[in-house]
Amino acid sequence: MRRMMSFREDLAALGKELHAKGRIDRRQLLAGLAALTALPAGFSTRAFAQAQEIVLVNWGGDAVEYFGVAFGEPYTAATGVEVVIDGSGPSQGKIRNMVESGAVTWDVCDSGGGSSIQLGSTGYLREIDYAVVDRAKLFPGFDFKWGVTNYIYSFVLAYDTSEYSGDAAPKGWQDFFNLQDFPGTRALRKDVLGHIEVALMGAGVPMEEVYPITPAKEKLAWETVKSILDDTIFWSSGAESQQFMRQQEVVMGCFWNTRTKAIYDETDGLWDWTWNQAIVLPGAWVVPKDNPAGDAVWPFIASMQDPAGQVKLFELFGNAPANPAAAALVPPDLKRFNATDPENYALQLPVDSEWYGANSARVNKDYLDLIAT
Amino acid sequence: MAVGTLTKGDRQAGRIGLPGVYALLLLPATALLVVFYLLPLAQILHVSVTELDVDAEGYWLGNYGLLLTDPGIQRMLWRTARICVVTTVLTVMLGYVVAYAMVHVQDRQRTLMLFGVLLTFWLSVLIRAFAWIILLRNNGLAHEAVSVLYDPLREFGVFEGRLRLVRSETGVIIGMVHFMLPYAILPLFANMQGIDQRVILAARGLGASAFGAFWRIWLPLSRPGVIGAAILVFVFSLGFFVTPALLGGGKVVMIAEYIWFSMEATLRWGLATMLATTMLVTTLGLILVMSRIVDLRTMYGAK
Repeated sequence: MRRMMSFREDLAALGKELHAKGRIDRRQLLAGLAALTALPAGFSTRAFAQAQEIVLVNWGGDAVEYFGVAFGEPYTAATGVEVVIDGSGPSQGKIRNMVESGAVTWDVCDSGGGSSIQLGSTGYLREIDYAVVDRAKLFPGFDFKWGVTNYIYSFVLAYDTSEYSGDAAPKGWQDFFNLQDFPGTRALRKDVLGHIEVALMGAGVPMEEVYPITPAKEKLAWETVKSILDDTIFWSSGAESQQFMRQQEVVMGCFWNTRTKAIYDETDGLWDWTWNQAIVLPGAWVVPKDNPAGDAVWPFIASMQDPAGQVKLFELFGNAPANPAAAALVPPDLKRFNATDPENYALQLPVDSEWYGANSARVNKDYLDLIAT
Repeated sequence: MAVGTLTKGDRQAGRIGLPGVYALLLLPATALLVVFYLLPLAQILHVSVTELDVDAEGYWLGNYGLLLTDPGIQRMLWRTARICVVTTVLTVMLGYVVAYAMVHVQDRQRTLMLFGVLLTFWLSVLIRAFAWIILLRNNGLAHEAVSVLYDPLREFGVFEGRLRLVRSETGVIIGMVHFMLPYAILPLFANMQGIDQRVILAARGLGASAFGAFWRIWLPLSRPGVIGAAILVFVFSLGFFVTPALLGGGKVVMIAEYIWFSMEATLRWGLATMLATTMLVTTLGLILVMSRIVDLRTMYGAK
């Protein structure tokens, strides 16, 4: 059954797609997937854990095998701890179900910043041990109580350059919501995350005044989305967003920067995007309550903060390093694609994950009710 | 009326009670049903009354009060019902034509037609949805063909707006009707095979016109098949997920997707389980009402 993809799940799928098209070879793919959970070179053995096994849960497919080969085995060699890769997809619903049933078999799960707060504040996650995980290796505000940012992605305004080239291109969300000057079908995501901000900027709210989100601003955001509803279609999975672009079903859209970059490469720049007013979001590792491996997960998570691994991952998949120190290691010709490059980062709005953690259950239903016609 | 596979004696034996050995054979299936179906179902019912949704606080009916008060949920339910009714009507009408042809053609052709109907069962619902997207999207083959008729009528003001065959409710209904057709054709075919063709000859012999014989004899005799096909298609349509999600452009959200969204994305399990229970009760209610109107066994050709 089809479901909405998390960003991380999407990344693994994108890697496979690029591999299938011959844009990256198998070794690069393996290396990239390894870098998703990179083990820093020379990782020293420390006697953290009595645990003999850590279960890492990702979003499945070939990534299971690649994670095992590239990450599980070296970690086992360095520490003696077995790493089991489980690809069953740690959705919020599944994590909740597992913790409630009292039979937790997962240690480290792929999730997001807002989700970590939603799940953590309702008692399903362990607090991150920042004595082991290094806050200094994260962007400010991306160190969550129940989650560690592992890489960063953006919702960008992407557009078809055959419709709008050069100066005629949409420059921000106000243009996106302007049907008079920019006619045509556009695309938004069928999930509220980051989209209240997009709609508010579309209504003319300056980026620095988007937060805090008040009830009045929520209302304004819904009205703004509603004003273009007849000309808007909604994507659920990253692959679907790519189909919208590739088939030119839309003239512009609010898409993940990674997917847009892939289409940019594939179409030789037919689709382009702007970092201006993009929404920056964190993916995050979370640890379910009563995880079987106990505290052995913390050094494991800390190992993923290594900048070299994050840069490697960026080069392959286009997602951005979570460690600010990594930007300097990005090759100059690739800097313009890096969401956390200082130049690009300054143009964007980092999402308020705390707000989504507290409100997403409510506003996500409101958003779905709004877009369903 | 219809000639079935069971003789009268067989059926009576069944009514008296199964011999012990047959009851034993039923045990594993029953146990599976209880453990993997009835128990989880009971859990869903339980959650729907114990986990109060944030919006349902203070309601006498708990989560079920949202059915009466929440405009978003009401619109979703109305949309689901509307799409399912339209799908059912179209599917049964189209299916009737095919089934009617199937009982009247030669054996060889019938086999081919049956093969054609069954063939669609082997195609995944995803593949079919994507095929429709390619055909129906702007500049797609079917879109171009329909535009030839649509555009002049639009000039005259019959239609408003651009033709949008996919990423719309129209697209969802096309996809669902296509998926559901075998589920209408097969029960209709089974029913029509049981109709004694000689009654039509008799009607014609007594002076009825071809249409009159169809309208006054054949159609009433096939009524149980029509009702059976309609229930089957309607109940299946209620649970549709993939087709509306892909062909609806994200905007045609039906109850199954709404439940999924509430389970996985918003973690509002009280709301999700309430909707799941509502759907189950509605389905059972529909079948109950229909069983009062017609004999369910007649509908699927089992009698």
